[in-house]
Amino acid sequence: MTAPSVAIVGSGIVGTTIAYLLTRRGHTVEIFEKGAPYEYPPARAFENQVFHLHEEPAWPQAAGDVHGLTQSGSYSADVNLERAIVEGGSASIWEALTLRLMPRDFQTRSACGYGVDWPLTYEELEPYYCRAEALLGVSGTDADNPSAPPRSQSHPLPPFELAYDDRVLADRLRPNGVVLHTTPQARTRHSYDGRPACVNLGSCTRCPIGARYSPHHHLARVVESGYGTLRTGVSVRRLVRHRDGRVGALVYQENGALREEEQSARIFVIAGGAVESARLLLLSADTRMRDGLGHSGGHVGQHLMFHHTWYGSLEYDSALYPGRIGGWTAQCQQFCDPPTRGRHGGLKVEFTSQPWLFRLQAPPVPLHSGQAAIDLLRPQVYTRLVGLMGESAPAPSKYVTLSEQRDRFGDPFAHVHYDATDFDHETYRFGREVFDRLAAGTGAVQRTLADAAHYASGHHHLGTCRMGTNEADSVTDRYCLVHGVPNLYVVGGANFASASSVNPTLTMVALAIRAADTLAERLQ
Amino acid sequence: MAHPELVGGAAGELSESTVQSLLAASATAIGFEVDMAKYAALFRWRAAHLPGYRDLYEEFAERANGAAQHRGDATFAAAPADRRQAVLADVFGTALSPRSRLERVVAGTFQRHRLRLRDRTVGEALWLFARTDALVQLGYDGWPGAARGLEAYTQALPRHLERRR
Repeated sequence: MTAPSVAIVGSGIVGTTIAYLLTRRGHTVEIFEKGAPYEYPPARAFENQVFHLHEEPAWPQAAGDVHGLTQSGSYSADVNLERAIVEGGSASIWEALTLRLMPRDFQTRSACGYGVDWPLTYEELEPYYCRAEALLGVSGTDADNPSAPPRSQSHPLPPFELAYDDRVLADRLRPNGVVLHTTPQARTRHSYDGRPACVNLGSCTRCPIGARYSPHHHLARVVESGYGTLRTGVSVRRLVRHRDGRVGALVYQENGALREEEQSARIFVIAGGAVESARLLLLSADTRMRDGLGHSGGHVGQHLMFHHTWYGSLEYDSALYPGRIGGWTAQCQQFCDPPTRGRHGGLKVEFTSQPWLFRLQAPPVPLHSGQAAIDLLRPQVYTRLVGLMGESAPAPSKYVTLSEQRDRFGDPFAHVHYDATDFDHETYRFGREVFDRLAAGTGAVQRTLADAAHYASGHHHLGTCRMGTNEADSVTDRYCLVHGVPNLYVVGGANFASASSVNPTLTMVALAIRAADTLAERLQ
Repeated sequence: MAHPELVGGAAGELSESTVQSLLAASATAIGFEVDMAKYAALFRWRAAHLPGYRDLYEEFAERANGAAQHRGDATFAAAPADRRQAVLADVFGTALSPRSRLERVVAGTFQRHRLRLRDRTVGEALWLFARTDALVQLGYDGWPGAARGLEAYTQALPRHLERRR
């Protein structure tokens, strides 16, 4: 195999963004993806799901001895199932909410007294947010959102307007000082960059027409360019360094092969998600970095943060008919950066439009007649699901390390330990207050909210290779270059120094674009 | 679908008469006027792709036709609506509509095959109904999976804000 300029580990939204931008400039890249190919767009799977009641796995699962981890702590969900290890990564099946972090999210230490500051500011990242929105085709507006962070360019596509029932709730909340607004998202309000316009099929995580962004849109261009290649079903086992400290090759093995192989490159990029990226650095320990690459400060795998999400429901005595548009239309960002931040984290509120029934593979109770089905559904007409997305903070009780269990190649799996902290519990209490305010303001007659212990991660795993100013406080520098390894980058959610309360993917893409610019300069 | 598993049986094409029997049963169970085309597609696809379904569907049709003939009709599909309900009761027993948890347990224990037959025929048709046509019956203007456009959802439905009874 001829050595590419850049070898990228992971074909998710970050690896694909970097590959796409580099190949457009004529640089050669090779992408190594542990997971299997993904049929894109998933029209056949959609048709089977909707019309044939045949639910296929969200993505082709790799074998358990390839795709695995161990886990401890109080987090109750299975972290392994939250990682789509497949061509295109988790953004093959994401909900495509694309919000910017708040400016103070980059300065939680200096502005709010907890965590650490990022080594870059919102203002520095702002141009890259614009480019990320253009790349993904984000539909949105800030015109109805007084809490939106400042921007230099409008969204590339107009917003998905609030649904009628959203507007009813927004009108009820406004006199109570709460603003419900539209949601920026990477699905096409109009056709865009070769993608068709959304037609509101309502199944955004399995969009059969490609209106919702997937990395496959750009992966195809990477391959078509002639400058990029994609290898699926390949596990990268470790990185091997030269005496000068540079990485000379990555060692990989096809998942079904008996022997490993090496691939050299000028520059290496790890974009495997926060868990696997940290694991690969730890697996690459050598005689000079005995605990793992970039780990001299002890930060690889530390500072893991989830996007704590509590779900609740609000029930009304008049019909709202939610779920007439897929995904999300209404949300509220005004609690993302509250004056009390520091005692607790920020909070984003989502009024989801997902019809719950559509996500079930079988009826929750046996159906004996059409009338029984209607009776089962009727409460949905009066109920809105609400998601509270809480900001978490790094803590010693949240980390990734190597497991005692090994994969089929004999390499230790990742081990994830996660315990919520007092800070997180305070964030829940804040969320509960906000939830009660929403319930009262909208006239809900019943309210239900998960308890503090029952949070989801949002499938957002962050912070294990955080960026900073030096190896004493971080794993990478502000351009995602690993401290002490001059040609190795880790890019993505792993870089986050704080978690924020908003969805992280747009920021991950902005960081990827910024890193790609740096790589292109180096390759000149 | 989490129902008693099917075992064996090759996947394959359904005869038209079997499809008509399944649609007649589905329409009877649904009890609302709906376009049956997607239900026909459901049965045809599952017979053609999932092992065991074709044999089960054909067994259902044979039993339903036999019960209908016993009651004086040429076929189940040709029977009037009121007699179809009785035929389904003959075929499914209490599995069709258990009136209590006890009847469900009895059906699950002693009528396991009848339960399987019910769940995999009209049970799945009712599940498809719940995800599609039932929403329209409730007052929605469409259902997830159908292209609903980007304008209608911003407008009120006739029964929007109707008080709960």
